Amino acid sequence: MDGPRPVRSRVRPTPRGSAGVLLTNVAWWLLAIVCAAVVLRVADFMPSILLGTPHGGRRFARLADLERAAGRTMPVPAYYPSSIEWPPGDQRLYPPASAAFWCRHRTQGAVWLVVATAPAGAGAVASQVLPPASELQRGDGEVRGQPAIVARLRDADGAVWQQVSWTGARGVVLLRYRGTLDELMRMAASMSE
Amino acid sequence: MVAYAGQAILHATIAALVVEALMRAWRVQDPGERLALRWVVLLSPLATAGFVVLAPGRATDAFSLQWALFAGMHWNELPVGGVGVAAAATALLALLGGVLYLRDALPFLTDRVGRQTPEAVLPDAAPAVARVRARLARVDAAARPSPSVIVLDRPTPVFLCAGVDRPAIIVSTGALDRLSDAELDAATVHELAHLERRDPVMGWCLMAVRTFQCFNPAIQILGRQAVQELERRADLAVVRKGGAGALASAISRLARDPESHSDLVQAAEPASLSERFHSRAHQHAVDDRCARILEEEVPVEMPWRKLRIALAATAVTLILYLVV
Repeated sequence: MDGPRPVRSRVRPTPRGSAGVLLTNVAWWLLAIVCAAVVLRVADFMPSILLGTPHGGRRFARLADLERAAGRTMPVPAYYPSSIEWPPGDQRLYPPASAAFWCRHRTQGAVWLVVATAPAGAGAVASQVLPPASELQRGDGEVRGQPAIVARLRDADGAVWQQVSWTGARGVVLLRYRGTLDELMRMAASMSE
Repeated sequence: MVAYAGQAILHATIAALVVEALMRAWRVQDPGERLALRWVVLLSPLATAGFVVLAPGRATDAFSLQWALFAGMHWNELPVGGVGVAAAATALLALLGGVLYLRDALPFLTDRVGRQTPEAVLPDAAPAVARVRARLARVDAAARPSPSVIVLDRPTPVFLCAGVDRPAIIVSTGALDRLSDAELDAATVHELAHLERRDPVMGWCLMAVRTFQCFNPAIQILGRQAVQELERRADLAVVRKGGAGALASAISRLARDPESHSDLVQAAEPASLSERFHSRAHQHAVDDRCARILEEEVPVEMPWRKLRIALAATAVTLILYLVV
């Protein structure tokens, strides 16, 4: 190695002018950000797609876990039909603070009762914690002297549900039941808030 | 702390992928620029810590639902073995990070801390020292004072540079016996290039970051890649002086001894995980490095280098802020 040698053949030529490099660099930069955002967003939705749950919603194995995450105790009806399983089979939470537990029928196996709550400020329980259903009929009612909304719904399987919701001292309470309206109102009236 | 660890691993992985994509798209060949871009990733755990302290609102459900591009907690909804996927992945990756860290740190610490007896150093008047000094005076044209030369009386090849305050080139008699004058010149130019750029300091900084993120596999891999960039930058200094053939030959000779202790015999690219356990793979990787040196083209420094680094840092910061 006797001093510096020419390296002409080893030097890469400049591919384009300075402005061209700048434009290309910025274009690639924007594309990289957009691609990263799209990939991350798709990856974020994957768990909810795989589980068939609403995006951002959380599920818990036990009622105590739901109550810990929601930061409040879930109301439980004192009158509880013996045909419905206890403890609940599914607990769901959706930001900011809608929470629900789903109970199944002992013999039928299908979800039969849903108890959901939301803080008073939320206005209503988020639909993401409830089984999908379309409203057939709606009317005014009363639960323990407080105004309530009573509705009849049909779920995706065609089953008819009864629903009552009202705003109590600790927030919005919603009961959705696949039995008779009579039993639903008895459960609502027996709930400890 | 566990939450931070999970997020730091996730952030470093995403940052590494984004920066790698940008380097490929921008066709960045210059090892100095590639090193700077890799530092953007290596420093991403600091951004993660900054977000945790300065933007606690990112940890809320509302942020993860309305603003976040990706929320790791959503993957915890998928159970695997009684825990969420995100928690299980964090635990496994942290274990991998620890293994990768210890794999490099243990020899490093054993070498420095566990050394019981002082090395036999040849006196200045020894012919071997005079030979190295003569080659150094021949190839070192820098204005700064020449580094000191330490020649170890050891049959195994040693050829490296060290020293933060007092730079030195450390060579063993075993290395000198194996190298011709041209190869010695090439190896010396390589080590001088390290000292010129204060790479020993960079090496300590990299080890500090890797220690701080000892659980983070992305940082461990990035740390190794950064070392490869340092080596390639020093290789290019030799290629610029027309010593590619001599350097490749020197590397090849030194790598023949499995006990060889030199940055010159580091592989060009990290081999795959399974291959790492086989010495043949290492030899193969060293051969690759030699082949690359022989075919190496001196990359032209592209304009807007600082802008590209700033753009990469901005992209990483923006994306990581929206990943919780």
